[in-house]
Amino acid sequence: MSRQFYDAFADLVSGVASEPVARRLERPGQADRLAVYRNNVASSAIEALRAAYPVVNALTGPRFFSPMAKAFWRGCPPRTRGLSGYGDGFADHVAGYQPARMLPYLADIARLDRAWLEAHHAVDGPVCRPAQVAMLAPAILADLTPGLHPSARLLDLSWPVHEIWQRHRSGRSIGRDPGLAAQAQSVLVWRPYDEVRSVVLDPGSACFLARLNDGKALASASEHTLARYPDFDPAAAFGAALSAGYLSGAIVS
Amino acid sequence: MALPDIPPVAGISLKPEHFRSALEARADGLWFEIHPENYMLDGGPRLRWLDAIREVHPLSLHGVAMSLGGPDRPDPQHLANWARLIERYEPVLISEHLAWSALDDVWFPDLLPVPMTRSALDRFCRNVDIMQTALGRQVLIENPARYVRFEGDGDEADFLAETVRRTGCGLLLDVNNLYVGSRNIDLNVQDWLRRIPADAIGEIHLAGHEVDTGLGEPLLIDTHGGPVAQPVWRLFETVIALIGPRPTLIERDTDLPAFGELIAERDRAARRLIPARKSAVAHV
Repeated sequence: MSRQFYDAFADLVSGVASEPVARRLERPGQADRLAVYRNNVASSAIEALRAAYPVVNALTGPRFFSPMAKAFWRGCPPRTRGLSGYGDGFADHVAGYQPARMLPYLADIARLDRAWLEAHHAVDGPVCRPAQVAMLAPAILADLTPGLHPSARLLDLSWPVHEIWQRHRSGRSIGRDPGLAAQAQSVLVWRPYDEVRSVVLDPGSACFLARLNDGKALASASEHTLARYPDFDPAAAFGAALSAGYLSGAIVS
Repeated sequence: MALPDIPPVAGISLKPEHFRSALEARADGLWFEIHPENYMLDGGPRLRWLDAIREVHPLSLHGVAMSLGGPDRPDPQHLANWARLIERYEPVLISEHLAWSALDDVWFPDLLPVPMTRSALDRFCRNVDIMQTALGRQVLIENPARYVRFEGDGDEADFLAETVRRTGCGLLLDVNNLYVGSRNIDLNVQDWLRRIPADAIGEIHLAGHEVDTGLGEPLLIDTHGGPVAQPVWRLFETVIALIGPRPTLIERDTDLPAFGELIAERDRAARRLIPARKSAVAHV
């Protein structure tokens, strides 16, 4: 009995085979009832993905989303208990999902949805406030390593989808075919306190923040960025980061 | 382990959509139950909402993922996550299911049936014991919603009673599950209630089910997606007449209605508990 029963049941609810469980039924005529378990497992996973990727669902429609989500679940079932964080890797699945090839920007939408979820549930941490650094001497400021806030997610997208995504997120749909042209876009998603925010970054700022995120000091991150983007304005980028609140306040006492 | 001393009042399951209403609600004795898995997060507003609600209302943690009825021992990481939530929210009740949901490292998001055999009982008792020891708390075990019987299945009430006897756990009597089982697999309700140690029942659940008629014989499915059905209300009255009042929860997991609708159902349950509470006092 023991282990075999569970292995057979895992096959049943994974959609591999139902006969091994059906053979154990007291009334073999009730094999159809086993679908309750199979459907529950799949639909719980699908609904969790739908909740985690609301803009992907809105853009494709639920009837398109469900089989796409089910295909993901088959390859990547939950491996931790609970579904709050389920769906990591869904964007890559979307990118390779043949029926979605007419919406080539959909994977970037999924990346934004995922970043929103991760920022929403991320560890809380202090935000670096302008007052914390206002009094610092320039030499000390140059050596400061203000990493990004722990909720921050920096995204390098292939399509300029931030506006579409944000409109859907705030309940202002703009229809299903926004007619985009492929173009790189850097987006930062973070949660300074309770509300998740997002902003489009110019390439210089994205480069600068990525260096800070790697633990580099302000001066080093500025030099690195200026070498690639001569027009980059470190003071303006630092000021914008401080006023928006996406730098971590943990290193400044 | 003794049952916690909780007044037999009525509560509802809590979802993030209702956080604000829950925080502002002031019904007498109102309490809330959550699935702890939804709060096993690194941080964020969901945890803070629950902090605030916990300041005003008692809280119960009702787990769906410990897989106590599975072949493996409880997952240490999952136990640690539970312990963290118990420390933070100091729940008045904690509960889990006679079910399984994990095999090797895959988690199946459902409550899967446990074969009612001697060896499954041994494993289940071992796992309940591990959970209670790790958390330092008595756990209430919920009876399952059953759709089929397997060859060799023993008596469900005996299985639960034996688990209580061996582990000192309590029971969470899900009246809807009991009703669903009576219809789906001819579970004998009167017999079931006779065999269950009434003193071990620390909580009652009431929830909605759906009737699937697509398979010939109607199959009752425990969906938690609608109001409590009339026959379940009647069975609830039978139960509290028999065992006395218990903390009772209106459970809703899908097709979430307005908060007020759940409160109205909860008030209905609360009204049925009052005469039972009075007679329980008179009886003492």
